[in-house]
Amino acid sequence: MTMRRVNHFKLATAITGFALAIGTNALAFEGRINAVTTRGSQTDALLYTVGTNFLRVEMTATNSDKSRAGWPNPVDILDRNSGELTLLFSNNRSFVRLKPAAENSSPTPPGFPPMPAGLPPDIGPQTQPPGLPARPIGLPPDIGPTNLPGMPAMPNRPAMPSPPPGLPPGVGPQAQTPNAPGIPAMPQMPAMPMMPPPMMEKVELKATGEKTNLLGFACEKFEIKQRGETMEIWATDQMLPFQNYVRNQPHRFGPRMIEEQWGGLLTAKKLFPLRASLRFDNGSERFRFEVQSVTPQKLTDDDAKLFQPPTNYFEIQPLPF
Amino acid sequence: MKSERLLFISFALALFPLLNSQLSTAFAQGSLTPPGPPAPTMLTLSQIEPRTPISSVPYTITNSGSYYLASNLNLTVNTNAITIVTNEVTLDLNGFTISTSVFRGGGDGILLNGGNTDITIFNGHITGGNFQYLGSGITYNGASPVTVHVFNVTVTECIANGIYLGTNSSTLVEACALQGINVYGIEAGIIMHSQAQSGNTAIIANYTASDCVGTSVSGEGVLVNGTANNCYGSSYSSIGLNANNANNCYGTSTTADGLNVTTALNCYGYSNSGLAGLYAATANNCFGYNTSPSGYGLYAENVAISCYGNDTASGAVGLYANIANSCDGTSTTYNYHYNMPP
Repeated sequence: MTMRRVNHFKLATAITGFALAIGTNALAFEGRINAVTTRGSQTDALLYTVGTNFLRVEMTATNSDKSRAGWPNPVDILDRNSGELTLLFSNNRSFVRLKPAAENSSPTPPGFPPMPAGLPPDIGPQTQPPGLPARPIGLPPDIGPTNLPGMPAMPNRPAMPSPPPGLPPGVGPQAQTPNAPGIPAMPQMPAMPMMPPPMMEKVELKATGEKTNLLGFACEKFEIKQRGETMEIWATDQMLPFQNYVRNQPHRFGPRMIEEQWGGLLTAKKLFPLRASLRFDNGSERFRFEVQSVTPQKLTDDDAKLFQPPTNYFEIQPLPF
Repeated sequence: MKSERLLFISFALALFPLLNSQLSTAFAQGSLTPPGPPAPTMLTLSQIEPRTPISSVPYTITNSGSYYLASNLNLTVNTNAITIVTNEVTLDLNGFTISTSVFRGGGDGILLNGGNTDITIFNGHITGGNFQYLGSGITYNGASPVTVHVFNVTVTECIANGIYLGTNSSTLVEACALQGINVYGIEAGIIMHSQAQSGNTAIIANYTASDCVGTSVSGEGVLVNGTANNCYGSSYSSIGLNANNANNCYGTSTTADGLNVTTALNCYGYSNSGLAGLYAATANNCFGYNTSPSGYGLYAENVAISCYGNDTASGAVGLYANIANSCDGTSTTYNYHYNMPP
């Protein structure tokens, strides 16, 4: 019994030490990482500036709007200790602080329920049977909506005059003040119930066992599969937990695609991808992430400013849901 | 016959002074001394206009009641124009405008200060001028207000939010139009017949948004926790329209899903990103359009019925659905299907 306890203690110590080693190794990385994402014909260059306690991710170039590279894509600043994410919006010189998602339990939605067993052959969804007559080219008039407009012109972006520097009074979150005198406390109104999440396929990060070396880092290959798509990821545990570039406050409703979920799966395992490719099952690539250079370097005091909102930006409240 | 009629008229005229005492000289005259001071015979000013005029700003409403703007009011000191610190207030902007000329001021147009209840604001304009000197058009401080109704108000050029009432189910914004809002456009429990153009999310409704248009740069055009009906949302760097349910809606985006909802009915989504024109868990009679070579026209996570997905770019998928029924697309991928070509 005592020996068993000793063995358990040794095992726990070894696991803890291993975890600490990984964590220390991950936290130890400091420097800059240049990466490129490609979606179809759109290419965006990302710069990761990694500090001891903070991580900054920004889009430094894009071919989607060369006249105003990066605009209005936000800058992401992650507090690596608390998990708080700050988004800097250059279009209106504002920033929002997002608390870590309630330990989001899991980024994966509940699985799609399987069909009940024992259904008659014609009951329930049918797989594609062979031998059906050939489909005529073109959309039959009775399929799909018939009163939809044609290709819409994208609306003009609203012209946003630059706000004045400095935080004017009354702008941004206001201090909580007690109720005005004489105002009775209002009864708590019932909150809007959140809809149950839709039935979506569970997305998992699975190790394939394949290993390689990319840019001097030992990488392991992982896969994520969702209906009709597969994402292959070469990731390392020798850098830092990944932070996917976030363009906006994360949306709460509706389903999410793989490229909106893969970052969280890697972060949970403290992995950083050196290369990732998302392909349709028909073979064509629809998303690619590739690190082009990793530059370990000690950041200067000036660099520390990169991890704080500029002084002429003002804070806004996060979205309510 | 004629002589009889003349005789009758003469007799009647002769009797008239006797029957009418005022014309008669047969009775004595009354006293010339008035019985007392004349009593008021007209309505008082407070009876005619039982509301309190607001003739200058800044102004603080501390008592319940009905108020109205007496003229256009321009803020010249750096504070909020009208602050409401009590309940049961009706504020009629009376067709006038609240504006500011405070250089880089930032005060709010109308501030509900501290968990107010039973507030109605309507019929006028709030503007920050050409340089967004106003903070928010209508906003609150402290506890969220409840039972608030704002209607027929325009808000323009604010450095912060347009009409920002929190998300309580009893906050209702109706028939309002907003332009040049720097951060959030309209936030309320229910939003109807309104339009907002803003830097971040334009229309934020916790329950329903109906007949609304939201255009945003870096946030969703329309964001609804409940149901969006007959809405249009457009965004540059986020989802055009994001809701749990969408009926007869239209969403467009440059870099994200045009329309992303749990259930979509009679909707249209357009995107030129690598994501989807229309992305839903369940889509019924919808159309998704994408111009990206790496995206989906319409992506139905679970079921698509009578839908069409269009993405003609090489390698892209027009329509994807786990279960597709009577659907089509420029190219289609599905796991199960009914009434579909092979």
